[in-house]
Amino acid sequence: MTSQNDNQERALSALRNAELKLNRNDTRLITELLRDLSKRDGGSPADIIASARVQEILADKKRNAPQRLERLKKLLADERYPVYTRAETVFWALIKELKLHPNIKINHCVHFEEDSLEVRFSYDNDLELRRIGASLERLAACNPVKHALDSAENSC
Amino acid sequence: MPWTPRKILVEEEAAGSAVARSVLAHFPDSPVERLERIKDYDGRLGAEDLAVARQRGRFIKKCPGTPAYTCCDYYILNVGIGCRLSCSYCYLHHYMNTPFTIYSNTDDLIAQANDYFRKRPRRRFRVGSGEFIDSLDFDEITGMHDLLVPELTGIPNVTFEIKTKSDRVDHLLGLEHHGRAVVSWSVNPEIIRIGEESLSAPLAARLRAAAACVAAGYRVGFHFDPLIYYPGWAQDYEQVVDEIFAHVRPKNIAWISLGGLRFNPSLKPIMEARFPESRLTSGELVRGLDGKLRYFIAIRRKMFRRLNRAVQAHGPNVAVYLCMENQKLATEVGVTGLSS
Repeated sequence: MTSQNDNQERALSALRNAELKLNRNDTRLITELLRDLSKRDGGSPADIIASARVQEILADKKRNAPQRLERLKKLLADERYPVYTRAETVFWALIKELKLHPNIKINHCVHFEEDSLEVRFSYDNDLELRRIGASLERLAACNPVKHALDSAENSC
Repeated sequence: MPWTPRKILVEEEAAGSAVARSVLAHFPDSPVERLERIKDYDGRLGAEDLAVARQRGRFIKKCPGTPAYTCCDYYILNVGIGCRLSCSYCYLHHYMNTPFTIYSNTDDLIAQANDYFRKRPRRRFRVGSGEFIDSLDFDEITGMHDLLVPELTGIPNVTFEIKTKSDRVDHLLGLEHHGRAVVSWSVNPEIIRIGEESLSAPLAARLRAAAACVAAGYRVGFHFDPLIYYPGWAQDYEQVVDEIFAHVRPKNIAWISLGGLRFNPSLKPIMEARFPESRLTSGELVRGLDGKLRYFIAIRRKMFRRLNRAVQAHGPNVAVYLCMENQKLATEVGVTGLSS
């Protein structure tokens, strides 16, 4: 257990050396992701941080530290949850393809546990409302949650 | 299984019971302490200890299910709490400071069951003793099911389920069960049993026990619960299905349930500390609508669909249901559900 903790600490230390500022929530999240990934795939948390894909993010001088941290968290989460990531990717790609009215905001149920969608919109005039209505018809015909889950299911 | 309690605690009100006498006779070398109430014990207790107590509440409880998912209308017979099998994923690890507890007042249990179920003769009840314990774990010590099987199956609207990972069923074979008892096993591929359920009986032994129960006129059930997602899961689980049907004919199967691994997030650090070799916690588990960690829904869909198809290939009329899922998902993956 001690060596495991040491290994975790080495991994976090490498992130701090890369000038990432980790608050308590970041630290907890990254620690858990690293622990789960190393348990699943073998290797150590420090190995993951030393990998080329992580180092590429840490060395990216075009982005500031908070942006690099967000990219790192996303990378680790995507690797930790590959099937869910697949569903998310397909879902948002479909939403993008629909070219919905910009006043429409959409979200799916947490982790797609239900196939309901939360849809919010606002409008200033009748014409805008009609355009939003047309967008919603396209959305209803598309069923993005089903497509996302089918694609994710086929990927696992 | 060579297990001896570190200490036996016996409540005064339970001391004269047949269960207490049997426990004390079975473990003559364990120190015994008598006390008014187990909860008043002043000292450290744990899963190494065995308590014989009086159940002062209801023996019969409706399965609480889990919020936001469909309940299968199951009733729990609370005959004790604790399990010596110590499977890595078991929620009983939450109760590490609780001794194994067996309730002694079986007469009250029988009376409550008769009162509750006979007063509702138009309803059919599925009742099981394997929720807080493995039904047969302590049977050779307490003889509990020697009593429960004839009594509970004598109630016409009750189907009584004995749920276990054991193969020790010999004592059940000669009991009067009125055709209303179901002996059921939770099943997993051997690789999972060895890694996560190492103290349970091997699958082959469980299936031989199932065949013996069928020969004695029992119906049997199988619970693919928890289903574990890992590389090679599909072939391994399909092999388990094949092995089940090599031992038992479809008409003798009362039901088969499917349920994905799920647990309260607070169990995760406990599992990691107690079972460091287990990889279960690194599965693709996300928070469900009830707050529990469970496999992402696309993974569950895939597993349920595939397992259901494998079962239906052997027995198209076998009742398959999902445990703690919603009806929509059940429909999507094509499970038939329970008919009653």
